[in-house]
Amino acid sequence: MRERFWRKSIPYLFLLPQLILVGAFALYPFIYNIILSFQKFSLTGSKFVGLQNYRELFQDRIFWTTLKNTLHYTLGTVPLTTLLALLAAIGLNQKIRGRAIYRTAYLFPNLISWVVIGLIWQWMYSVDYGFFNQILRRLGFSEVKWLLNPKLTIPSIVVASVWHDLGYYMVILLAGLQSISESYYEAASIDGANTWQKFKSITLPLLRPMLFIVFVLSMINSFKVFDQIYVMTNGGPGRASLMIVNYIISVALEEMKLGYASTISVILFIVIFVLTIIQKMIFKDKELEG
Amino acid sequence: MRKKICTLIGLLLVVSLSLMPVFAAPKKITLSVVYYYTSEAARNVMDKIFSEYEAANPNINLEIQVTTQAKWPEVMKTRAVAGQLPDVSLTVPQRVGEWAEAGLLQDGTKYIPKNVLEKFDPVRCLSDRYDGKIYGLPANTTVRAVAYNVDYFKKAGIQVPTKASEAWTWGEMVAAAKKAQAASGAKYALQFEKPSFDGWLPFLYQAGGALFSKDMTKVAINSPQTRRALEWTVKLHEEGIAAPGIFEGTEDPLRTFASGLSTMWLGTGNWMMAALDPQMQHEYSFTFLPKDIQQATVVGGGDWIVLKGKYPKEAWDFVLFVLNQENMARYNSVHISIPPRSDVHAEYSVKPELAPFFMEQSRMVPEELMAHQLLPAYAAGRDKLLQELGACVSGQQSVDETIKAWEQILNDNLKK
Repeated sequence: MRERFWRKSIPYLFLLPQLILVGAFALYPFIYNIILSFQKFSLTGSKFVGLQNYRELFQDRIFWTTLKNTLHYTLGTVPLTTLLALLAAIGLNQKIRGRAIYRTAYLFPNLISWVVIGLIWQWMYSVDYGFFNQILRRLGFSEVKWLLNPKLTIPSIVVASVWHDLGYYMVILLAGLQSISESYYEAASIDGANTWQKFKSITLPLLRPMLFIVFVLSMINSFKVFDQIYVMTNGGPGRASLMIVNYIISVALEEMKLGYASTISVILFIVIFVLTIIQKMIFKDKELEG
Repeated sequence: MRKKICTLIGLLLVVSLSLMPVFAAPKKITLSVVYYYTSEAARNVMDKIFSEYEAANPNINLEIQVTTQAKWPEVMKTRAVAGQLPDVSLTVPQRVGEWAEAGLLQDGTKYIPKNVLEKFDPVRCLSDRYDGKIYGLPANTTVRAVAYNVDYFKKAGIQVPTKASEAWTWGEMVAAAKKAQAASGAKYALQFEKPSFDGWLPFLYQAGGALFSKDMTKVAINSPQTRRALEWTVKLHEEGIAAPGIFEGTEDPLRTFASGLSTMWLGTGNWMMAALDPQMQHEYSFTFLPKDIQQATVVGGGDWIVLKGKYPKEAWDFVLFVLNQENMARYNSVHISIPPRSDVHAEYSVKPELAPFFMEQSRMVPEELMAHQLLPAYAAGRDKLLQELGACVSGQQSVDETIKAWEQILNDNLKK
């Protein structure tokens, strides 16, 4: 009896440290954040205000601007990162000379802090000193205000983000590619399949779980984007690149509206949660179709 | 005999135990201090002053947190929410009112000797006064003016105004900057200060505009004067006269001016010389901010405030030590700013000959501008006001939309 009890308990004991950490640093703050979203704070205290913060949110034009900006950024980042990471993973899965060096080179930007990378890219985009404008000038074109033209600000940040994140997602997809048995490809070759047919009928279906992970992770990270915006534009010009998380920080720490900032966080969570469920359903349907 | 010895030992024990508190070392007090610095030299001076304070007060231990001026609100508000406010902090004059209004500051009336308070500039001390009480004291006074590239202006044969009464009008200043640009081949005629609404305020008041009404009960920013100042600013950017990316923070204003890309830097001031001097690739100097219907500048600097805590007397003693004659002179000398005490003279460590100029420029602060910029309703909205300015300058919204947005921000804050 006792032996059976211990045998059943051992997995939970192994899980306990992680459960404590998740509980203390994720679950408790998450629940507390929901409680805060019904309160109003000042420098001296807080009071319960019911749904007032939620009502205020729907009339807050800045919130809708940040939501639009964040969606714009996500739509730019997620497909581009996934596609380029997939291409890089396929390329680096081939037997080429210096493969390890290339893999490290792709991963390297991901190991550097966004503060450093943000400053480097801000310099590269500089109107007067920037690398890109130097090239344009040499080629006889007029300079471009990469970060100052509101239409180009988010696309410019997307490029920097894709460059930074590419290696990370490439490693995930590479692991997926390496788990696909060579025998499938050999069998397909015997059947006369060409490269595209092999990719379409073997690689893509078997890589789908990894692609789902990459899609979900990059989407969540895109909605949580903060560092690069903070360093490169601080949400400007005006509010052209102000994202939800930057707005949450500004509302919480500059305006001291902690309750309202928590409300925006709750809405951000709901948006990400719903989109993840939709993605899960899409990928599940495809699996069934497959 | 044994009984007597035991009684004697007992007595000795009782006497020694009762005397212990008298001879024991006094309990050490920890004063928590939050401050920021703008140059390494200023930091070194502050570190030295703190060490000297600890040496002079062995029962006090200083717990220092260094931050940046931009991060100060974040640090302090986080500490407020956590219930861990420091005892003393350095801040900008515009921030004091907000904290005094929240009831978190310690009145210094009974801790500041009258003869010491009399030495401080009463106008500069306005930032620390709230509801008839005094919550802090100024450490230094900075003044906004115009830095210009002497080499470029010499090339163009332009004489800059040397007296406040001869200050350029907006049109004269832009014409001079364009002439210097043409003669030198600089990319831009001029540049604004940095991503800061304070840096733009002088132009609003020069045009006769104002943030609030004279009695400070209503928002007055929606006016033809504001429109004139904003349209002028936008036009300078649209026509490529002003360097781009300064209000937006994507270009470094110090680098733009120091490298000679622009001929003039509007709204920068004495405090910037410590950073500018080692980087400047040309000769530079300062002239007066221009006038439109009136002259206007903004004075700022740093104020030491005392927060409500366990040791108000010790905290105020610390502030008075940091701001005594000798320490204020040392700090203002490296910070290159005007000492707000009448009995202190600070020799600027860079370009000491400009000290009288900055004194003269500092007298060009309209009374209402001084009062308006100290209202918490302005301090709490500065970041949002700047965002709207950036949106307007970058062409995302019209001048009218911007002014309406400004009015809304200030109205919301005034209502609070």
